[in-house]
Amino acid sequence: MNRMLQNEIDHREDVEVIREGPYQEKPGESNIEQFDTDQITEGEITEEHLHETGERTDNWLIMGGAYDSQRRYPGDELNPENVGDLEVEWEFEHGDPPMTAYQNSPIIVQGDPPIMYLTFGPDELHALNARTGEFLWSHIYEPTVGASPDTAPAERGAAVFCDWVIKSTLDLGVMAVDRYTGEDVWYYNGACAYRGEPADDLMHEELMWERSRGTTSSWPPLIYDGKIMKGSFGGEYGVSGFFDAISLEGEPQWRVNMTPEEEWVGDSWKHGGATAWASGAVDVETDQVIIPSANAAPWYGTVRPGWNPYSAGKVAVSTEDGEYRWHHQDAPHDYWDYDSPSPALVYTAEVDGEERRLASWAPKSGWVHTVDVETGQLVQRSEEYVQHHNMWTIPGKEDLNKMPWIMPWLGGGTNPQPSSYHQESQTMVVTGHNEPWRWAWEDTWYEPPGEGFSGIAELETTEYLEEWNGFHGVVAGIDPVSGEVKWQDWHDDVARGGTLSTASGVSFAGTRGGDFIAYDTETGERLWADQPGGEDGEVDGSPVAWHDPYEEKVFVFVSTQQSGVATAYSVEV
Amino acid sequence: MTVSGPVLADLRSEVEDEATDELAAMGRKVEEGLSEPLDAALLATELSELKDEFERIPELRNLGVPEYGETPYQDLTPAAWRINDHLVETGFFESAEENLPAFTSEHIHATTRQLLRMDSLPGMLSELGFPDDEQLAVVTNIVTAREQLSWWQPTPNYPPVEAEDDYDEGVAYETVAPLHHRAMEGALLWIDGLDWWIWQHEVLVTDEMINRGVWDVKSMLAGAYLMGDAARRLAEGTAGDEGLTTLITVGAAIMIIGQEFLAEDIAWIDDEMRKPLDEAHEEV
Repeated sequence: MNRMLQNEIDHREDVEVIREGPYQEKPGESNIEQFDTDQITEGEITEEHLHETGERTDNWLIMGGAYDSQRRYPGDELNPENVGDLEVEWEFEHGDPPMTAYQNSPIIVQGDPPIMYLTFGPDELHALNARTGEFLWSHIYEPTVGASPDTAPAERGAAVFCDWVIKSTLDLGVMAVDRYTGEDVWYYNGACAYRGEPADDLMHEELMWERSRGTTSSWPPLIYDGKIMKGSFGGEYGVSGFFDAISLEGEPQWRVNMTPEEEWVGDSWKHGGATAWASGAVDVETDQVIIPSANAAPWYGTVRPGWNPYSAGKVAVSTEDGEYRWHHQDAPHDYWDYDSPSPALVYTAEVDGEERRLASWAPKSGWVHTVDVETGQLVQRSEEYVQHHNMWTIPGKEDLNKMPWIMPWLGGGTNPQPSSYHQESQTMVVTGHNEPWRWAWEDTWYEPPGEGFSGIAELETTEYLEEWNGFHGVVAGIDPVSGEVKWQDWHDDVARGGTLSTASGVSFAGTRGGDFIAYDTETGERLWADQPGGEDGEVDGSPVAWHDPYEEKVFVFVSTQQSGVATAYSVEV
Repeated sequence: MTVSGPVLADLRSEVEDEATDELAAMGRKVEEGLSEPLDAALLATELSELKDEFERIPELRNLGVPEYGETPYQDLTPAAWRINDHLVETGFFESAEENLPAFTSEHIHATTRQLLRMDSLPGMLSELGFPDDEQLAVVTNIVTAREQLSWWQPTPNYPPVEAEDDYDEGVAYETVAPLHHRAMEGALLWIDGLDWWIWQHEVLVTDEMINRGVWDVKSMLAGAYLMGDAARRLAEGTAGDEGLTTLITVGAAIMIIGQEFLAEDIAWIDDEMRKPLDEAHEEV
C-alpha cells in the first residue's frame, strides 16, 4: 500500500506555527466603489443553501454548480427545443482586458433581482444586478506583490456564504467581503507562514514574487461544513504547493503539504511544485475534498527522483482534518507540464452492475480519468479526446531538432477549464487543446529584465505533421465510465473555456475563435451558436445558467477574453 | 530484458587490462571525504537481508496485481533503505559526488570495462539470482543508455537559480541531493510506490508491463546491493580503490537507468500499451 495511506497525516503541516503569524493582516489595499447597493436584497446564505444549490434553478452558489462540480443546470426550462431562441439580454465591455483576466465563472444569488458576483483578473470582485448587468459595487484589491498588466493572473470566481462574498487573493489570502456593500469583513493571510516558518513581515519572503510570469490563478474557495478551503499556485517559481482549510472566521484549521517530504529525495520537496491552484470538488457522501494538483518542479526530472506523489493529478483528503484518503497521478514524475488543474466532478453510476460513487476529470494528458471516490482506484481511462503522438517521450538535452513532435502540447489536453456532466446520458463534456510540440532541456540563465521565462527550448508547429489532424481545439462528449468518446467537434481554434450542461440535454462550450456553441449533449449536434465577443473574442469563461422566476426567463452568462465582453443571454420560459 | 548470445564471461574475456590509476585515485578520495566512519557490521547485515529479498522477486510476476493493502514491492526495500540512510549519515553520497566524475561516455566506458574485469562480479550477480543473460543485460543497459544517463548530473553541474523567477530552469543547490543519493533513494521510492500504482491502475496494467517492471525492480535492487557492497568493502578495508569507484559508479548507473525504464515500462502508459478498453473490466 502506498506509504501515505500508512501514515495518513504525514503530509499535514503544523498550523500552530501559522497561528503565531500575522494571519489576519492584509498585505495589500482594497479600493471599494458603491453604486445602487439597495438593489441587493438581504438574506443569509446558509450551508443548507450551498447543499441544495445543485437542485435549484434560481441560483448558482458554487463555481462548479454544486459540491459535486458537475456544472449542471438542473431545470428543463432550457432545452434543445428553445435553446435556439437565446438572445442577448445584456452585455458590457470591461476595461482594457489583460490576457487571462476573463476566465471567470460567476456566482448567482437568488432574489428579486438575482445578484451576480463576478471576478476579473487581477483581483477584481464586482456585484451586479444579474437581470440587467448593472454594477452595484466593486471591490478591487491591490496585492503588495503586484501583478503585471501584460500577463495578469486569471480570476476564476468567488464563493458566497452568510452575508459574505469570499474570494482568494493573488497574495495567497482569502478575503471575506460584505455581499451587500463590498466592504471588508475579514482577511486570512495565507502567506504569513510557509513550510512551518512564520514570516518576518506580513508575507513569507519566499512567496513574495511578482504575479507576472507564467500560469497563475485565483480560484474560488470551497466552503463546506464550517471550513473554507483553498489552494496555492506558482509551480514554476520554486515553491512547494499547499492546500489550506480555515474557519469561517478566517483562522487556520489545517494545511496539506502537497510535496510530502518523505516521498521526495533530500530537500527536493521544497521546490517540488505540485501546487493546488485550481478549485477542488467535495464529495458530501464521504466528506472529502478532491484537490487538483499541478506539475512537479523543476522541470528537470533528474533532480527530483521518484513518483513525486500528489503532483500532476488529484489528492483526496478529509474535509474534517485533512487526512489522506487517496491520490491519483495522471503524469507521474512529470516532465511535460502535464498537470491536472481541471476540477474533478463527482457522481454515482453503475459499474459492472454495481452502483458506485465516482470522480472523473479531464487533465492535460488528454484522457478522462475515472476513479472510485472512496478508494481512488481507477475505474476507467477514456479513449483519447485529443490526439496523442509520441506520448511520454522524455525530453532530450539541448538539441531540439533531434526531438520528435509530441502531443498533447504542454497546455493540454484540458488545462484549468472545468468540464460538465449530464447524468441522464452519462456524458461528460470537455474542451481540449490539440497541438503538436517538441521540446528539449536547454541550459539558459535568466537575465532580467524579462517577462515570460519557460526555461525550456520548446517549439510549436504550424508545419504539416502527418499524424496531426490540423485542428487546434476540440469539444467532446465522453462516457466517463465506459471510456467511449461519443462525439468530437473539432475546431480551428483552441477550446479553452469551461462547459455547462443542462438536465434537459443541452451543453455549452466556447472556443478561442470566438464561438459560443450549444450542443445536443448526447450527440454533439450543434443547436445554436453566437460570437459574444466578435471574431476576435476568445470564449475562455465558464458559462453558468439560472432561472429568474420574477421575469420568467432563463439566463446563460459567459465572459470573452481579448474583447473583454461579458454577455448574458436569455430566453423566455 | 532477455539477451541471447554472449554472456558476461565472454565480454569479460574481451576486455583487456588497461590503466586504472585514475579510478584508483578517485576511490581513495571518496574514502577520504567521508564525514563519519562506515559501520561494516551494519552494512554486512543489511546486505545479507537485501540478498534474501531477491529470492522473492520471481513471485512478483506470478502475483500480478497486488490486493488493496498488500505491499509485496515495498517489502523488498527495508534493508536497502537502512543502507541508504547509513550512507546519508556518513556523508558517503556527498563524497562520491564530489570525487567522482559526471556520467560522461568516457567515464561510463571506463567503469563498465572495469566492472567486467572484476572477478567477483559474475559471482555476486549470480548469488543475487541473475542468470547469465540477465548479468549481461544489467551491464549492457548501462552502455546503451549512456546518453540518458548523462542527463543525470552532479548537482553543481545544473544551472543555478540566480533570480527569483528562475526556478523552472535553474535549481537551488541546497535542495538537490547528491547524484548517487538521488540514484539510490529515487530507486527505492519508485519500488515502494509500485504496490499502489499497480493496484490503482489494474484496468490499464498488462502482464507484460508487470514483467518488465519486475525486471526493473530487480536491476535497481542489484544496483543498491553494489552500492552497499562498495561501502561495506570500504568499511572493511577490502576494496581495491579502482573496484570501489567502479562499484559506486555502476551501482548508481543501474539504479538511475532502472528508474527511467520503470517509468517507461509501467508508469507512463500510452494507449498502445494499455489493456484494451473493452477488456478493462473483464478481468478486474
